[in-house]
Amino acid sequence: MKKFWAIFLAVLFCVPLVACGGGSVKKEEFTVSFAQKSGTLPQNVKKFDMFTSDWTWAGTSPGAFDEEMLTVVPAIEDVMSENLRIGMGIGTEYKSIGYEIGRLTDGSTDAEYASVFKLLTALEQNHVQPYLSICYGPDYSRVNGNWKNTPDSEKYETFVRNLVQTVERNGYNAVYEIWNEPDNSAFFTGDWEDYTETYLAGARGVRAADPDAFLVGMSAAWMNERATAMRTRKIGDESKQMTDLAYFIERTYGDCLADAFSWHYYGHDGETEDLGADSFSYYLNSYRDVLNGYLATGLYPALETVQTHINEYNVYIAGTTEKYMSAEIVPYMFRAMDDLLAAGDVTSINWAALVGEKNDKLSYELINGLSYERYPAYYALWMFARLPVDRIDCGIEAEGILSYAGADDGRAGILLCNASGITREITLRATDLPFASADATLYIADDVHKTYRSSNLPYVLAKQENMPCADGLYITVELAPNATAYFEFNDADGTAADNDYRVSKGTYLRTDYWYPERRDGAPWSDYVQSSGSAYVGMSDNAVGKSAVSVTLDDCRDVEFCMQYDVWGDAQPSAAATLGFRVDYELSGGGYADAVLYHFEGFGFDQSVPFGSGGAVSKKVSLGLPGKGSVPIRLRDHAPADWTGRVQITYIVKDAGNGACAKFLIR
Amino acid sequence: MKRIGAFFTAGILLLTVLCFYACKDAASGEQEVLDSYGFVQDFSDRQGYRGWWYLFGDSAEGFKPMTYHEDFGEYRGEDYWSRLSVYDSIPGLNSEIAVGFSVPKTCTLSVSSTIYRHPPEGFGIGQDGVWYYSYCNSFTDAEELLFSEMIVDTEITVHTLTYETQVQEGDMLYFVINSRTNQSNDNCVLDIRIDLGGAA
Repeated sequence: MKKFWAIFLAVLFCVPLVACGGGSVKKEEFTVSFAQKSGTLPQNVKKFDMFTSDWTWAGTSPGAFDEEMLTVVPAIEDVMSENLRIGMGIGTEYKSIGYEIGRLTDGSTDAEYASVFKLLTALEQNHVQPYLSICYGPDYSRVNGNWKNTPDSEKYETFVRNLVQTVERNGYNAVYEIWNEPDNSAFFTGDWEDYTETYLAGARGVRAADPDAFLVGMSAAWMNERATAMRTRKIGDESKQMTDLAYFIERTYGDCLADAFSWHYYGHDGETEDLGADSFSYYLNSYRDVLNGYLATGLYPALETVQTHINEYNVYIAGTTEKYMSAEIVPYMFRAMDDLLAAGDVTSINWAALVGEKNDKLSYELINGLSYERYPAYYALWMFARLPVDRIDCGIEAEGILSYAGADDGRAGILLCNASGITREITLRATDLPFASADATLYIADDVHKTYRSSNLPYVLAKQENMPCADGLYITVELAPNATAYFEFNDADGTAADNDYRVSKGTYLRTDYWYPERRDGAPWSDYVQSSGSAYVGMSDNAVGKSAVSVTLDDCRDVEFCMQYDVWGDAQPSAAATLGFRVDYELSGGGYADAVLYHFEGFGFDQSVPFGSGGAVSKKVSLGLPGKGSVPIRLRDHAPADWTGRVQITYIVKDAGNGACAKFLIR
Repeated sequence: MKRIGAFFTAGILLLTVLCFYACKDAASGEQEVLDSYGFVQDFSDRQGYRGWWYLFGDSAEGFKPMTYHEDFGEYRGEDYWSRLSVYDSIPGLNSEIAVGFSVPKTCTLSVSSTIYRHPPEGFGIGQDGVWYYSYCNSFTDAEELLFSEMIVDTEITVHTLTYETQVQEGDMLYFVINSRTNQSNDNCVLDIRIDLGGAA
């Protein structure tokens, strides 16, 4: 015991009692070892994206743009949001970023997109993909005078085609969603059949403009109803009882099937469960039940790659209490994030909203649109984003303390949120850090430690550079109720954390996922666009599969080093796959000559719904599962008539309980 | 035992470093007491630096700290237009802005403040000027104001306001700009100089 105290470098930091809300203080000590990653726990996947409403980017008069608001764009990248869903507000009479689009034209001129392009340029500079919610009906396709009305199908198709062509002609790579909340009369006056027709028109427009564009459909406000309420619908000559979701699937399956189905969820006063049909799990499982029903028939295999985007999400809806702007909301957020991380088949969650209404009323914002103050909810997302994806089991079992930890070669982090309602004094011992010396920083988000700055960084409570790690580090902090502390240790020698890296290999086109199983805790996969990092895992399953595929263009001269690491209990077998395959697009269409790079004992040639899909032409062993790298020059295995486009698909199948792997393009 | 003692010392040294770092940014951290203070000369991106606070809200209901915008180099309140800097200070659509000064020691202090409006536009539409006033801690009627000045209509001359008052350590002096009925063309340039006298 003496030795223990002697060899640990003591760091004691006490926050004045007044800063912690006073009251009783419970003292505890925890040791977190970074020696071993957990593959069975949900990883700290970066799938929390952002949403902004129609008016966020608009100036004070219709058609004007709020240039100042562009200063918040880096705040999106800093929470590792891959995309920003943008309500465009096309055709409306109120201020919106899309006010000018389709007002006097068919949507085909650059000039009407001037505001949108300002935002898209800023997003591109900050590695955030625009996710354009093409809402609502422009003048061009309007019927009976109201932007909420079902538009003229042919004109709407033309309009959407023009919109996509104009955006792409100007060099932007966006996601396109058809309409917003068509099941909410505030935004659409037609019924679900009318929306489906509108979607089909829009989908044809998107596909005609660019077959590779990422298409999103539904944007449902109330999936709890869309997936459960039975109505009589006519499909072809047949009338039958079906849900709106089923109707949408059957009507759109084929060329117009969306790449993602989207819907929205808002909790009640922070709570997301025990709300009956308003519970998040009710929304999600009702939706999954419908999809699983179609998947079970074997007649709808393309549904296996339809993603689920909850592209407006919050634990509360804009209300009238200031607790949403305080730390009080943060424990609710982390509890909700546990549910969202367990749902691997939900590939994108757009937090609503980055910035709310720009007035002095209470809103649902992370950043105040007038003062630019970052609220604790923003800092909570910032802290989670900084955690390495590779999950460490904290082993902290303290009532009311929510904990997450992660580590990669460049960073180790521990996040603690005090959801207990009383002040906690926590001594945290960090051992087995993955580097020799660390730059350590302790950030805190609560209602006392405020930066009063527009900086995205939370309040820094303590910082120390070049601390030797061999014998571990420890620190004591008092956490007021609802406070969140984030302990970050970065390699003092400068090794970058995995997701601080910015990849620039080829031209990114799109990411596709394979989720043949739709349930919590199923095998999963994830790709981070900005860093080129891919993750696959079995979770707590010995059997099952998932894959993520990234499509890259302009790869003729691309060479890179694929770094990899495996953790968890990877079990080799004749049926197991763990690795990635590269499929080459042919100039005559389709893909061929796939190469599978796999770990030894994990080389089963699993067919996938990407690339050529079928058997690979060649296998390359990466050796036993572990840490390493392999140089890849794409042209080495390319067919003669290769277009320069590849699909790189990261696969996990039957790889053993808790098996997890990451692949980093460097 | 010696060895344990050596590491313990290391721990204490580190504690000092960490405390210093944490306090550097803290508004309430210990700060050296100076003889004089100036709003312009002391203007900082840190609330509370040299006792100065940058606020928005309402003198009746209370003020809240503004947020320093790192790109614009000015403080912003949660109201349209509400901003404060050494170059340009504007009350909000429905709120006042205020400079607060936290008195560092019990003394008699003297205040000298200048304020002028930016040259307004040629026509006086909506230009009803601003009301600039000062008080200590709180006030219930105009008699308690330490100074009060209307800078009306299109007037752009520099107003100089002074007072001397006894204060206690921890008192807060407020210098408030009110938009009157509207805040059109209410852009002001402000300075405040405070000299601390001897102990009261």
